[in-house]
Amino acid sequence: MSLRNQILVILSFFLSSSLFGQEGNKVRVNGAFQGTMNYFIKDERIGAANIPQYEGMPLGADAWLNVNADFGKWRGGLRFDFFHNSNLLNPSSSYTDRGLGIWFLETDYKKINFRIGSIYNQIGSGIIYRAYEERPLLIDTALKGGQVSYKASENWDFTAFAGRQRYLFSSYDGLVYGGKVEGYLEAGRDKSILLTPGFGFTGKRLGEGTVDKLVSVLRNYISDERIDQFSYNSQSLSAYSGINYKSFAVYLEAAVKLPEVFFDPAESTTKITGVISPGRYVKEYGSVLYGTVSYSKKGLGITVEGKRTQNFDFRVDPTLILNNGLIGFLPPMNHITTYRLTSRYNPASQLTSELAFQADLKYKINKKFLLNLNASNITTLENDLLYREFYIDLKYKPNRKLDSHFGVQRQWYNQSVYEGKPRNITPMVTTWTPYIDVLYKFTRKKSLKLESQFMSTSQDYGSWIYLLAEYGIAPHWRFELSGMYNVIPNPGNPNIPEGAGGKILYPTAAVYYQWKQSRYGLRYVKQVEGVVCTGGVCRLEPAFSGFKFEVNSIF
Amino acid sequence: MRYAWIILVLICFSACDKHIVIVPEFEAIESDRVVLLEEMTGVSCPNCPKGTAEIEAIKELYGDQVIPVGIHGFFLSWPTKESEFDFRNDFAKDLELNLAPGTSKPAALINRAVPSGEPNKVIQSPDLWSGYVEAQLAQAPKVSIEVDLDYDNDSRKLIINAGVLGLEEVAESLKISVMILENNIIDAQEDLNDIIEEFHHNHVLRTMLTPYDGEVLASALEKGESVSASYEFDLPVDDHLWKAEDLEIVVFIHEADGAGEVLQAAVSKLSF
Repeated sequence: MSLRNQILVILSFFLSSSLFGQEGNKVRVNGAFQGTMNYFIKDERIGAANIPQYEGMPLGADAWLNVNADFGKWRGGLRFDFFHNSNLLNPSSSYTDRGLGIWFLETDYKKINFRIGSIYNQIGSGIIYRAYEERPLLIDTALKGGQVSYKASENWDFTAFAGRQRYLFSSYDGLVYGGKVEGYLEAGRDKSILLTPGFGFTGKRLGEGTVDKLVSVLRNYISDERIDQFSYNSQSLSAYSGINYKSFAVYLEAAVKLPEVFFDPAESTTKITGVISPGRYVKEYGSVLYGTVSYSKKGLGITVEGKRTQNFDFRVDPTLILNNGLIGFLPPMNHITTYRLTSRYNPASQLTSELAFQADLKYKINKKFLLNLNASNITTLENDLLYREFYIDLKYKPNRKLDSHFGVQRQWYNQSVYEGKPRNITPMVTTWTPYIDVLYKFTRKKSLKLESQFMSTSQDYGSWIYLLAEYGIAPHWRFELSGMYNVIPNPGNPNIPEGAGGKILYPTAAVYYQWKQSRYGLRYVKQVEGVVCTGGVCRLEPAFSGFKFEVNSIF
Repeated sequence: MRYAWIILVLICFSACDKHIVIVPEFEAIESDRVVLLEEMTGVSCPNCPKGTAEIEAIKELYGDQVIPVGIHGFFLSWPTKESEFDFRNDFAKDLELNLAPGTSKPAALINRAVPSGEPNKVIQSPDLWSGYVEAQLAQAPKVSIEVDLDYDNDSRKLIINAGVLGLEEVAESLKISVMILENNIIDAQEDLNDIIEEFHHNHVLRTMLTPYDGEVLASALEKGESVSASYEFDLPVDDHLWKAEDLEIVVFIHEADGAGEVLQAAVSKLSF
């Protein structure tokens, strides 16, 4: 019997025995299903070619089925994952596998909570530890192990955890462990100051395979770049607190990573041949300072946010690359927008050198108008500009029938850094993107949404226009027609994939149907290459051409 | 409350153990094994010069005990705006699609083996290639390969005779693959800064004389038993490419079934 089957049997035993032992308690079962089926249609004109799905594996699918049960003091859950010719793991690759994705069992005993199996949690804002899931990028960093939480008093909670970080259907070599103390305090004469202090630490112990890999790399370094020794273990610590006083809310977090070996892309390695090669493993401290200050009163909200990151590439295995094996999560520092063109260029958090600020203002001019201003600025610690954005949005809602937005975005985007393209032939992308978004409700059931966006830029693919019309018949149907058109292309850009570029229309036609707690969508999509960000994590995705059928259902 | 803080601090410091790894000095491995390093690369791949630098460093350490093959398949392998040549061919495309579908680049397969601790054969970090080459060199070869070349400079006809000798009993079916590589091609290559117009390309896979996945040589091999195969090829006439003095003939033996690992490889240059 396989390990997975054994776990299933054990879990079933626990569930059933608990069920009998909890007579009178009602068992509640709930779950969710999410699935996407893709049919890839090769289109060399947009660069949708040269990956396995366009070269003979046209049908792909991803699906997740969660089933959770809750009975008395016991809670448990399973998730089955299914991937067939999936492009989620690597957008340029094909991934096929299926099996038990996660399982967990949880119970309370007096003031203690125990959980075994897959654990999702975070410390503070997640800088030193965050176990989470982002399905669009196939990120699932659940910890496979155990967690104990102890409620020491009304105001203080303690948590400790240990395990291995999940990777697809197995886990990374090496141990991750940690803990946190979080409190809730009231201070001041009339207890008007609320504090939510916390302290946490995360440690990791490298697996033997990782140590072997590091040794095999480091022993080839020349003497000036050599790291003579490193430890199996390394730790990061974090202190954080929320402070609320009247209309002000402050969150501050300081995190430090004790010296450990990590890969620094800004350094270079001198090969034995004398050639200088980009990137080198170094052994350094790391730190992150992060804070937000908010002020709000009726009709006005102001938030200022800042983050300083230095050498904070903290992974289960330092030899892993891209988004793999990251133990923490660095919050993104730009305005999150849902419009197609204003979200085309997104700055992913930089792990080794970043200084970022963001300010946001929301002002309700009167009952009909709401103004939103946002500005963000991201540089390296050496003051090289990575990203800058100004964003103005005016919401106009004169009555219940009409809801509209008018706005403009101004961006500077360091495409070379964010997308790994050659520096000297990849200029800073600068854009102006005005937009209009109007939602009109004809009746309580019928509505029409129109979006118009124009991105003016002379870099990358050039200027774009995007139009969308969406007709809704509540509560079941929604129809969408949209198109993104490269109205002023940039044919001289050497970074554009062979055959792509030019005045090309990228259309989307979609129909969505909602039935009870299920939502179905069928879409025909042509999508340009771009950076896709979900929850602050980004990656470069190649162009897509084909059909998508999506199902989301809860029960 | 006070005790809880003490416990937490103790947990933290208990983690700070004394498990220190001392990084040893480099020592070359002596071996009869010849390792095949298939690099997925491309001239429009800004990170690929890092792979080139790593391969040249490995060659410096191990010479002809390592045979690199530059596979310009399809992803990021399309010519740059400054390119004179197109290194792509059907063999390279099939190898990339089947050995490393959708990989980021550069990436390498080392003897087509799954290194210990890795999830698959495709190693995407060039820094790790050297260690995995050494791991393969540490394994004794199961077969040896002898390659004889017969080349007529006038007709440009090339005859390749390959003999394979079992050094131990090999129970599985074996395949042979024969590749022609070309060195010293000067052409454009993207790097992290620019398009380098005069980049020195070596080990470029130009063609194969077997199917891309090899052809069956023997169903098994006894210790001391030998098998042979012969191939003929007319070198194309070209003003800039297919220079006989820059060509390398690579022969390797790999498992026909299972993981398809490469058991041994050999390289020969043309003589005039």
